[in-house]
Amino acid sequence: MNKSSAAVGVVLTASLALSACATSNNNAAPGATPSASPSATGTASPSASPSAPASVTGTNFENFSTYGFDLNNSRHVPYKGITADNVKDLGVIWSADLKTLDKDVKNGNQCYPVVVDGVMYVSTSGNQVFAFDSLTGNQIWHWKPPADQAANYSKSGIIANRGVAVGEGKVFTLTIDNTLVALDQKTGQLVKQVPISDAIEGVTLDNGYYETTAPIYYKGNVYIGSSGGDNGVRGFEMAFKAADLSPAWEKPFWTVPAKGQDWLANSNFQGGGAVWNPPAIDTETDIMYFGVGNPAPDFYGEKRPGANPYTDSVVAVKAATGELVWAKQEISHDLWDYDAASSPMILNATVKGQKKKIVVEGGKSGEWFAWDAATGDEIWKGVPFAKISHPKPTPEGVMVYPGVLGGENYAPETYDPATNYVLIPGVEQGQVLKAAKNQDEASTPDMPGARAFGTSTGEGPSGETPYGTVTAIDVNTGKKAYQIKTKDPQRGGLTSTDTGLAFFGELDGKINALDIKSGKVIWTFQTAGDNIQSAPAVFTVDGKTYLGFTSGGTKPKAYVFGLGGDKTQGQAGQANTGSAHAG
Amino acid sequence: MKRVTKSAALLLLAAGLAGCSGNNDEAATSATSASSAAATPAVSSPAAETAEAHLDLDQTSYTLKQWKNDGSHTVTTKGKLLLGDQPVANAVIHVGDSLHDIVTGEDGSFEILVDQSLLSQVPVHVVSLDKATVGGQPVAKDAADQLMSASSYLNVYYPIQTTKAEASAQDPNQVEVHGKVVSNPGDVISFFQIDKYRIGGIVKDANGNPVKDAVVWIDRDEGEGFAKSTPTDAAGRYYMYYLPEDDEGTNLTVTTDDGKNRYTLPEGRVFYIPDHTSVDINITLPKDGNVIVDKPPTLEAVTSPGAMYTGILVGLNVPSDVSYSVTIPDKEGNFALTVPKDVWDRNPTFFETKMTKFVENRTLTWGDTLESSFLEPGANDPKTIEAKPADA
Repeated sequence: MNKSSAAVGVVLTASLALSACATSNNNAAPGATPSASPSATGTASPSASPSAPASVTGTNFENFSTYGFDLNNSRHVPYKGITADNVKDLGVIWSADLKTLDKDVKNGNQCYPVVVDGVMYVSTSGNQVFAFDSLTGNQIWHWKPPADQAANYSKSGIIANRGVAVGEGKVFTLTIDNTLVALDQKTGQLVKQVPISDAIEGVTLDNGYYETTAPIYYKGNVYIGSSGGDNGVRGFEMAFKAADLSPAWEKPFWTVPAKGQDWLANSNFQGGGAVWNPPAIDTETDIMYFGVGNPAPDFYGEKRPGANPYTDSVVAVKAATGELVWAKQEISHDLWDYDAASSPMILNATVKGQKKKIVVEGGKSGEWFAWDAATGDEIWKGVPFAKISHPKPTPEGVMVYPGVLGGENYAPETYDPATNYVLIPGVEQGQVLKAAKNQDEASTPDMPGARAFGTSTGEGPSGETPYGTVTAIDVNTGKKAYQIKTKDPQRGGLTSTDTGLAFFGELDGKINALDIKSGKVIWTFQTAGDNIQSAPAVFTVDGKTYLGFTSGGTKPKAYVFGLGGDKTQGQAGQANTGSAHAG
Repeated sequence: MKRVTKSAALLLLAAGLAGCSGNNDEAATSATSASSAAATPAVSSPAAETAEAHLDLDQTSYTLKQWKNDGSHTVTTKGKLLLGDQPVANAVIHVGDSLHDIVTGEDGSFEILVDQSLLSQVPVHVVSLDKATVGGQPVAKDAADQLMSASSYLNVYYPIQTTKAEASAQDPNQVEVHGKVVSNPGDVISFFQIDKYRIGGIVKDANGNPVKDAVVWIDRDEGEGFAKSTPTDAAGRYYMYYLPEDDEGTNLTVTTDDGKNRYTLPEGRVFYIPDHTSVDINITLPKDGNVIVDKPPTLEAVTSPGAMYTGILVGLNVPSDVSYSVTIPDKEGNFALTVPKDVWDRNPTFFETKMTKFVENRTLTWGDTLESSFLEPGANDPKTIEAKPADA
């Protein structure tokens, strides 16, 4: 359900107006820049005094209420306000410079906004959360973790956060140091914060676990995975009760054996297999589906014989209990770091001429898969959407495609029912991989105290210029309908509308509209930010359609675009494509 | 059906959990008899508050079954919470330290998911009767007290067999026991082995003074993965534990002032962390700028002793002042124990633990002898395993 009635909207407005009195900074956000706006008559005023009550602009809301729009992660909205004909009139309704709002916001934003009843919720690198009036950009509330905890984040190096979940009057977010946070949806006040290690022993930063993913709310539970597969953690998916953040499942679903068991019997490494992006949940069957990351160590497989289940897999479990339903592996015995990273989608699509409920996922391997949602029976296997050439790594080094970034990284796909196309955000970037020598040939250290080690020149880039792609796969045939090239790798993903458009950002800060049927980019806009590394949320207020998204890089920003907005464009930003540390 | 009443539970605890986990059948027998004896007067009494509380589990002991990709290592056990012969509905039960609520049904029944792939010995106990009813009525205080103290235990462990026990040739007061940690066919016991190495060292400023609260972190140049150190102490010393992939470059960064200042290697330079050894990397920060000069004396690396080990160890559930020695089980689970004869004659139970420990002064492998002081079973490790003779 993404549509709410006017009555609900009014009630919410009233309650926000009351509750916002308690917060100290709810208006006149210094970083928010209202632009020419069709909602100039809105109720919130940027010049109101800090003690004035904030209210939400508008009375009728159609939402983008979870990470993937719906729990299927379709990312396809039924809103029809923006069309191929009028897309040229899109402009900035408002934008907010997140570092201006709070200097402790960190670089590299990857947040997928969630918009509920006129409020856009944005998380930041460094684990702050903002609630903005979706039409004015006025800050309704802002939560930042305590300074001593935040200091811990900056030490961890990787601080991206991909968004929040909203449910039961609360906003849920995960912090880099593995805590689950519940905030009051109206005020942003902390309701509860629990270490995940209270429920799952050993899930700590010191052990290599960290959190970047957006949680998912469903039927009273909050679902999470974690990052850290390449730090040698044991991957898991887990459910917590939204009411009190106590464990909803008795045990986590572990994606790989305990160290020392099964295919890890002879390995010095933990198995990896992190679930670092949100699950898709079938509300008809209560089955959920999530992608599992690569085995550890990534490029060295001698000590982890066999297929290494369930790494690089899509796993189906019962959402109520975490009980396994099926698991299907994309890459057996991975030697190339080919996570099944991005969130799976559940589709009701025409497949081989018949309507079918399927689960699809594109991997960092550059291959796309489709399975029967109920049984896991294979429908389309390994449909290539990137250059694929990955010989077994040798000590001398081999060029492999895709490189460690994929393929498809965490960026989600979208599904357009009208064309029956899945659109895949792709990265084209090869990489030289060197296999480790085997254990016997590896250098034996000298006596303790030997001064034998130091620095050397690192591996250079491959010399090729990386670029991106958007690939349309016809779900009926499992064949590529078309593929377009983009200047930089696609790191954000796509969101589509019922008017046949798909919106996606680029690393230089451009936001684009693709005509899904023709595969032509029909609109592009250079934002004032750079490195759009997430996909937009499309929502409506009082019948008008808007586009909310974030950009990252060194000047993280949040934006809402709408018809009639400000068309002043910014300077092209510098793409940051180099980091392998997506999650 | 095994019944564990309040009195039975106390009895088991008082006996050092002797019957609780060692052998399922035996435990069941002793628990049932204790329960029956305690429950007898209650059955004849009409007053609910005098009825005995029972927290019954269908099965309390499980043989460790290693992780299987079909999920068969997780099983469900059923239980029932009763007051006398009346079911207790809507009581909340917890397993060990887990905060997961298990709520009893109208017939007092509940289910517990057991992960048979992990060693454990955890209590199952009632944590809340706020919404509980017996025969449709709230639970009376006396009955509530009984129910709150009713408990059982769930145990997962590898069975232990003894193959030989004989007087030590060196010391007649000692017994040498040969035993085996028994795994399912095809399963390998995860013997104690190196888990990670230690990367440590000292961070100094340009004047040679130790820097406090600096954090050193490393991340792989070609792949994903990183480790961060403890903040440096007053002497500038830091530690982290890491297992490098062989022959691979690593980026090295030092942050100070809560991450505000970052120092890195010169552009394009990576650090090669040595394989198969711990290492001290001593770093002197530059006076100006943020680039660490990557040669001695401002960046020096020397190998250092020690490694973090992890794996399955066994020991005896005896007071800590009893000294004995035990070898690290090999892949087949074989181990040897040298223990004072009077201790062995009292039939001590065994514990099993998956232990992780940094060992600085020696290298370890299977078959090596450990003193009992080395062994530190965790709170939730199985500690009441009764060894059986191999031919039994």
